[in-house]
Parts: sequence; C-alpha cells; structure tokens
Amino acid sequence: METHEYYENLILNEESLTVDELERLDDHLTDCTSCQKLQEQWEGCLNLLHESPMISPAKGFSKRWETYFQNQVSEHEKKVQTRIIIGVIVMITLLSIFSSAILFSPQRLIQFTLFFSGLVAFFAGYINQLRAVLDVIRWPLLLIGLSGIGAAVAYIIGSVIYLRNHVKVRAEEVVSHE
Amino acid sequence: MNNISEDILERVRNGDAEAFSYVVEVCQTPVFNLCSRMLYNAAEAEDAAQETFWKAWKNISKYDQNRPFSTWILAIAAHHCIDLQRKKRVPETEIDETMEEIIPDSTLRPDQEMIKNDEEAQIQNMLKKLNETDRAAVILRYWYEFSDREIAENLGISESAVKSRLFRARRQLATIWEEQLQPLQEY
Repeated sequence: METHEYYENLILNEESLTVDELERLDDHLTDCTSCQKLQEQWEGCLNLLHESPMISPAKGFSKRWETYFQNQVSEHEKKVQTRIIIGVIVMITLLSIFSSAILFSPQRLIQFTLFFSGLVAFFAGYINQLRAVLDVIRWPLLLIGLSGIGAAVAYIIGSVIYLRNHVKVRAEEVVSHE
Repeated sequence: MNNISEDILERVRNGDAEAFSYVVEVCQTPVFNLCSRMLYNAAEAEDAAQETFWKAWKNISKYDQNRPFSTWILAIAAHHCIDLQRKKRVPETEIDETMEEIIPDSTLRPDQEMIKNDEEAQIQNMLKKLNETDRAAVILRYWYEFSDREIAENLGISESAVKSRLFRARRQLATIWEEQLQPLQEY
C-alpha cells in the first residue's frame, strides 16, 4: 500500500508516468477525494498557465531603450572619467607622501640640516673675508664714494642749468620767428 | 529569440551598438514578460527590462557562446528581478490597476479583454504568493518551457533544488487557484 504522498507526487510531478503508475493512480483517485481535488486544482491551474500569453512592453520600447542607452553610456563615461581623476589624485597623494617620507625621514632630515648649515657657514666665511678686506680700505673707499656722489650732484646741477637755458633760447627764437 | 545569429552576436561582442539594438528588438517581449511576471508592475518591469539589456551590453564579453543567448539574457533578467524583490518587498498594489498597466495595447473586444484581464489578474495573484526563486522557476518552466537543467543553470541552483522548488510551487499554486475560485463560485 502506497502512502498518500506517493499519489500527490504522481499528480504534481510532470514526468511521464508508467502504465503501472497510471493504473495505480486511477484506482486511488476513485477512492480518495482529497487527491481527486488536488488533481482538479492542478489541472485547472495548468490550463490557466498554458493559456496565458507573453506580455509585450508598450509600443516604442526600442526607442525608449535608445534614449536609456545613450544616458547610460554618458553616465558610464562620466564615471570612468571621475575614476581616472580620483586615481590620478590618489597616485599624486601617495607619491607625495612616499617622497616626503623618504626626504624627511629622520636620517634624511639630519643630512639635509647638515647640508644647509654647511651652506650657511660657507657664505658666512666669504662675507667675513670681505669684511676684513673692507676694514683695510675703509677710508680710501669712503673718500672715493663721497667724491663720486659729489661729482654726480655737480653733473645733475650742471645739466639742469643747461637745459633751462636751452629751453629759454628756443622759446625766444619761436617768438621772434612769429 | 533563438534566431539571433552568431554574426550579430559577434558584432555585439565587438561593441556594435546597432547590432545590439537588433538584439533588443528581438528579445524585448521575452525579457519584458519575465520582468513583468516577476514584478507585476509595468513601469518597474520596463525599468528592469532596460537594466537587463544594459547589463547584457556591459557584460557581453562574459557571455559563453556554448550557451544559448536566450538562456543567458533571461538569467540576467531573472537575477535582476529576484534582487529587486529582495531589496524592496513590493507593496501589494490593486490588481485591477496593475493589469491595466500590463496590457496597454490589447486589441481584444471589451468582454474578451475583461475575461483576459481576470485571468491575468488570477495568474499574477497566484505568482505573487510564491517566493522569488520559486516564481522565477515557474515562469521559466511555463512561459519559456525551460528544462530542469536550464532552470538550474539560469538560477544558479542544483537540478534537484529545481525539482523540489517546482513541486512545492505546483502544490501551492493548486491551492491558491482553488482559493481564488471559491469567491467566484459563491457569487
């Protein structure tokens, strides 16, 4: 004697049944109202499923797709561009951090400070030597400087007087000509 | 849908958008039908169908030529709809409104249309009560006549899981069908 589930299985399984299985099912269905009901339900349901057509989209789907596609493509391109920009920024930032880490690592920092202080000492030495030289020739240099300034002032005064006379003579010439 | 030639698919693989438009033209009804049956809302189904085609276009390089294109694109649609359903449990809409949206271009007479809409409403109500994966399995079996193996490939589950899911779904559908008939018979 087969269980009730066995017959439910035969009803709901879509695999083709053997002759023996079909006979057993028929015998069972004459006695079992619950399985009869299940078979009727499933057959009704199956008919409904088989009669149902494919649902088509509203007219103009292809055109709407074209628009959607264009929008998606431009959005995709924007995303790609944004990703490239972000990538470049990240790369530059990483490179900066990396190079800073190398340049300003404690060891590098000591080296850099030593180099810079050496440079300052070098120029300070030269300036000091120059001062020693200046100490020796201070007075002659002062005299030369003062003479130079005096000569420049005399040259400027002379030039101004000459220009004023020249302009005056030209003006008189123009008036007499008129 | 199976009449998309290798040549067209090769052109699509090489980035030919015009060839892909032809694919959209050919596949729009099967893809839309699956989305519509899964989501039971025309606007969402349209969005899902367009998203399916976009995903197919973007991932065309991943398409295995040994597999039918129809199976591949319907797999994308099914997974997309299952994901949508899981992310957002769709609020139950009035079935009459939904059906008006689903069949906008019907050429049937009003009385025929009413019967058709009733049947469609009945089907959608029945499908709605199944879980997402069971619903996808039922749709692929009864509208696309997929075998257990094809459904398994499509949904990424084992063949035995497909068998048990379909069995469970059939049992559930039979019961729901009976429940839906009762108010009509009482009336």
